Amino acid sequence: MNDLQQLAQLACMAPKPPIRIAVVGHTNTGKTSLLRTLTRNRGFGDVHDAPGTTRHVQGAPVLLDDEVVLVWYDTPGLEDSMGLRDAMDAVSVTERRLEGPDRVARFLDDPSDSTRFEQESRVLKQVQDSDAVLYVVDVREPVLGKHRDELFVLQLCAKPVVPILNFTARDDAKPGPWVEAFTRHAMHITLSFDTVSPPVNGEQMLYGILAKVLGAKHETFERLGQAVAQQRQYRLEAALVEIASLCVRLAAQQRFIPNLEQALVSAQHILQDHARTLEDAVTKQLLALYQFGPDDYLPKDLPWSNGQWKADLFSAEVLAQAGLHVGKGAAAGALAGAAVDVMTVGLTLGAGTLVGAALGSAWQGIDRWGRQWQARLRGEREMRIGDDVLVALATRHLQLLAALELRGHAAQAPISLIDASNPPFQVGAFLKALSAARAQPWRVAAAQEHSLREREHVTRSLVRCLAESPLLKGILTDQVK
Amino acid sequence: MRNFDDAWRYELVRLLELEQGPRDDAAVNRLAINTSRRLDEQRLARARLIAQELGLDLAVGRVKQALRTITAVVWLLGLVMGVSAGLAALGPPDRPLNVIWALLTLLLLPTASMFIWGVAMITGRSNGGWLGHGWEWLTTRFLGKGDQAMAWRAWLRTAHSQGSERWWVSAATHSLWLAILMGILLALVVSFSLRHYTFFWQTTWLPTEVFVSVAQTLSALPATLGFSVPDTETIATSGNRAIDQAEVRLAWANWLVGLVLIFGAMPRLVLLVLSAWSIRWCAQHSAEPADAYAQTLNARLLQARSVELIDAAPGAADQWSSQGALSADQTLSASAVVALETSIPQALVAQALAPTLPDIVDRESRKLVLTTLTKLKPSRLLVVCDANQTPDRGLLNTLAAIGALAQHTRVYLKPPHANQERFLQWQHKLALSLQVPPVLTAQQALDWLRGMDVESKAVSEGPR
Repeated sequence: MNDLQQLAQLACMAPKPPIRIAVVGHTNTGKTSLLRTLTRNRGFGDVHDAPGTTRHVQGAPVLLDDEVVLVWYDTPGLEDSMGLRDAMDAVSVTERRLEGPDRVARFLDDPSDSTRFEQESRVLKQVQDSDAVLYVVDVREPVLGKHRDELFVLQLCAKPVVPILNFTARDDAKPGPWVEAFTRHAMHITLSFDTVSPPVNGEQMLYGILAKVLGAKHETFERLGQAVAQQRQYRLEAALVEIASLCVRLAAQQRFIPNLEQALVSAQHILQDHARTLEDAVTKQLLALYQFGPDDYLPKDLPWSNGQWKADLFSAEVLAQAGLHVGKGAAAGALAGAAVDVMTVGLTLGAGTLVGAALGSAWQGIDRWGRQWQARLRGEREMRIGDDVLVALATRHLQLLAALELRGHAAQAPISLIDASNPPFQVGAFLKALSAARAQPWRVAAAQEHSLREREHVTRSLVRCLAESPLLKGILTDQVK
Repeated sequence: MRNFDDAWRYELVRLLELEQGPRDDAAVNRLAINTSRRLDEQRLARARLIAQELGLDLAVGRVKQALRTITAVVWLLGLVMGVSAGLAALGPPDRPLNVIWALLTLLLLPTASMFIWGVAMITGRSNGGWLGHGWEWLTTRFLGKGDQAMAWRAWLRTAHSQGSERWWVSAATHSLWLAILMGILLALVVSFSLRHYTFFWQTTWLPTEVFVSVAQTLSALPATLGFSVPDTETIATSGNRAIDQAEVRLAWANWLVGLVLIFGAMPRLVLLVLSAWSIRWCAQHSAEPADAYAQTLNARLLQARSVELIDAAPGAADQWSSQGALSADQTLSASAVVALETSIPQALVAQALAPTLPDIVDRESRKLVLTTLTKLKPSRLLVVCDANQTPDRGLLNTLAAIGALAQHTRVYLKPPHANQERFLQWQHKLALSLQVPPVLTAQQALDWLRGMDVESKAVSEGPR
């Protein structure tokens, strides 16, 4: 009795076998691309505009709470469906009254066609071992007899089939005939999913459809859909934090320079280089967060390591555009990273010092205050990074973020942000949020860890400001809350 | 996060990777994956492995050593301060000791500072105060630059992100005070052991009952814990003049030591334990980091295990055995034209010299064309294909099948040949299956049908 109970317990605890979904289709329709986009893995499989690129069945597990609940299977393309159907028909002629799956099984057991239909056999075996099938089509191509034969053979396998319409975002897409053909094969639920620029919540839509098709597993698919939405949210938040902390760190940059032209120029270069390095790092971090790489953003012939931007952060055009909106933005172009006379800034810093002291952090406040006075006495000038630079920086990264949100992992052409339009956020609120970092640079400076709390505070207020951006609102409208 | 040290190493590796670029070490990732099913534990394991590999454990050890040294120095200082404070409060043994006065001197400051600490903790304003910052500053100076400095930064960040920052500062504060109070106790015990003290209390206008009740209230707790305390009579008679009796002196000395121990040292010890416990609690219950770095790592770890080939290497599916062709004496007609998965262009239809066959679009039309060709047995068969389609194996099989029913077969690739790569694939595949280059213009196709030899471009190197 006890043993029986234990057994029953074990049975409950043992992980349920994952749901298996085979991705099939005619050759070169983008099956591997679909899986790249679904798994957010640019390195999955081999993508090439040629027939028979994928020669293996390859599994991609999907985790939920650290448990594999779903496995996608990428399969080689079906190439010779006409021949395959003939072979199937031959099976049914020799042995009559065989039902579809039995006929397929008989075909797979028969070694006579194993060389000719080697790839097709792999696909059919995987379909037999799967719970459902995603059938990928390239809607730029016409519906041909071979495609109908593929549908016929798939129907023999008696597994639920969800047609995926790929390349729907292209100009030459003709999805109409395809939808009609699917209807004629009693496949009434289709999903438009362009693998290069997928629908914003495409993965969720797919899970929704699979939940309907595989009713018994709908709970898992619903949880997967929720998890996907949540991950999107986390990703976006993390990205905004990265952008905001970059702005905060740069805003808090403050150097005291002897009032000599040579010293000012060289200090300016050093500060600019520092800003570029930080920007590079954050750009890479954003790309990595969205599981893209440096080659997804920059044209390949420009070496990334040199920090050579198509539009340098400190170039006159970039700043002129931002400068228009900042109003009396400091000298655009030539002396960006504007040097501000220490006397004017000294006043604000004085006030900041008092606030700092009141908050119980006078330790650093006094330290800094002393340095201010020292600088003033020595006739040094203070150098900061200009507001226009920060606005341009945030604009560019928000645009990159928006592009990343909409980009599929099958995309091969790099993102180019040619449209440096108006800042997609409230510039006033942005600068106001940054003013805390401006007024008390020592409280948010990167090197000092005991100011983590202050820095977090400023960063959070900046994140709130950036999250209001209409650019992101536009993307996230269909986001499930 | 399981414990502070793991989280600390994770943070250290994070800082390192942010500074020096990600370490995309496939071997380490695979090892990490095998340690646990959970992603958070895999991340910690990965950091542990990398820290080991880069010798960062040494830096971690140094920081720990520094913290220990600083704590020891602070303890020693506290002890010395405590002893001197205790001796100062007792004064020389030839003067009777005012017990109330001595008690105030010894306990007022520790108790007041404890209340301030409590208020700061409750209002949540405290992130360490002066002592905390001083401690941080001291450690920063102590550790200098390099790996140790980074390990120390990582330590601070970990404490911050786990929310145990103020508990660490609390632990430091309480341990300092504990050291001071232990010093005081040491001074009391040594003084009372080796010197002769007499005790009394003084007042100008308060009645005796006040002192009796105050002394008894204060000693209630020590009494329950087993300290001998002066009885009512002893308290009452000790007013304004010291009694030089052994029992009375013993009672007062015990009373004083008991009060300092119970109301001074014990609360600090309890709070120290509480702080230590809170640090551990914070480490165990801190939220999963969801920053860009953690999410990127998650994806990398997931991808490291997602490559799963589940079947054997592919065989030679792309091989066509030559199906042969008709010999000249078997042919029955001059030429024929057929379109494969496309339609015959107008240019060819208009000048139809040859009988045109139905377009092959499905199995039925293919069967029909095959039967018709068996009857026609043409000398020259022109197959029209769409260069923009993918040259798949099914198409090539059909091509081979119908090619076997004519003496010569050529493929006319319908323009436009917009996709250069696709065009090269066609050339490559045709060279494999039919061993003839394609015909590229309608004029060439017509010429060939009329019996002329067409010079086609030689097949260039196929793609891949």
